[in-house]
Amino acid sequence: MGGNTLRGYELCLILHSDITDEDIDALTNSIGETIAKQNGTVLKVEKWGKKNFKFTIKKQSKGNYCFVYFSAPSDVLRDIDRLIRFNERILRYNVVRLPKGFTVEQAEPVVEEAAETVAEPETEEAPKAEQAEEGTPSAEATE
Amino acid sequence: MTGKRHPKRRKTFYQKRKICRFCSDSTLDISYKDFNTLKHFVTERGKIIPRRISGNCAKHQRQLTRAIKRARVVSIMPFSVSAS
Repeated sequence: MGGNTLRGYELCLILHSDITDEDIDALTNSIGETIAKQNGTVLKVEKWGKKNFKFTIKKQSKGNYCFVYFSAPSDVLRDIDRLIRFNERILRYNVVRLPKGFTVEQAEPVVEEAAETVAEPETEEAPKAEQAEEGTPSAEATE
Repeated sequence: MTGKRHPKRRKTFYQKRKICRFCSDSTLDISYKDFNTLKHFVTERGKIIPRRISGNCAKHQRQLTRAIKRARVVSIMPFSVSAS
């Protein structure tokens, strides 16, 4: 058994503010590959873009935030750690274990129209309405 | 003896019962990424407001404390704010 049980994790990456969007994608892809190598799956990638820090990290005052939700055996964390530690453009990272009944739907902004009736044991959980605001900064007028 | 006599003060009992904000509104979620919710539960200096003042229940105060501490690690919340 050991490290074979899949657990949900959330990886928070704080990247250098100079990093481009393609670089972030490349990085999350390589992280996804290491996760997949150990039979894990990436549930969701959430990009916040540039954000000011509340205190300086490695002499930087702002950085790019990126969150990766995944489920994997705990051995993966060591591999991810190795991958991240030698990347100088990652200012800081943090892995948080997700709550037990976590589903991908909870991570995604819930659309009210699509009232999915997933048979879940817990009924106290209400759909997250606030997350919809952060996740979709789609105010780009390309004209 | 110059003992000053205090007039008998009547103790005032506050009956206003504070209600846990997270219990009364189940749509409100505690997440370490949600700065706008967490900011109501710290002082101007960035200290976590105790339960006896904020009125949170024990369960949610615990979740809140964890969320604030996690948020500090990733620089979403400050550890401390210097005066003025």
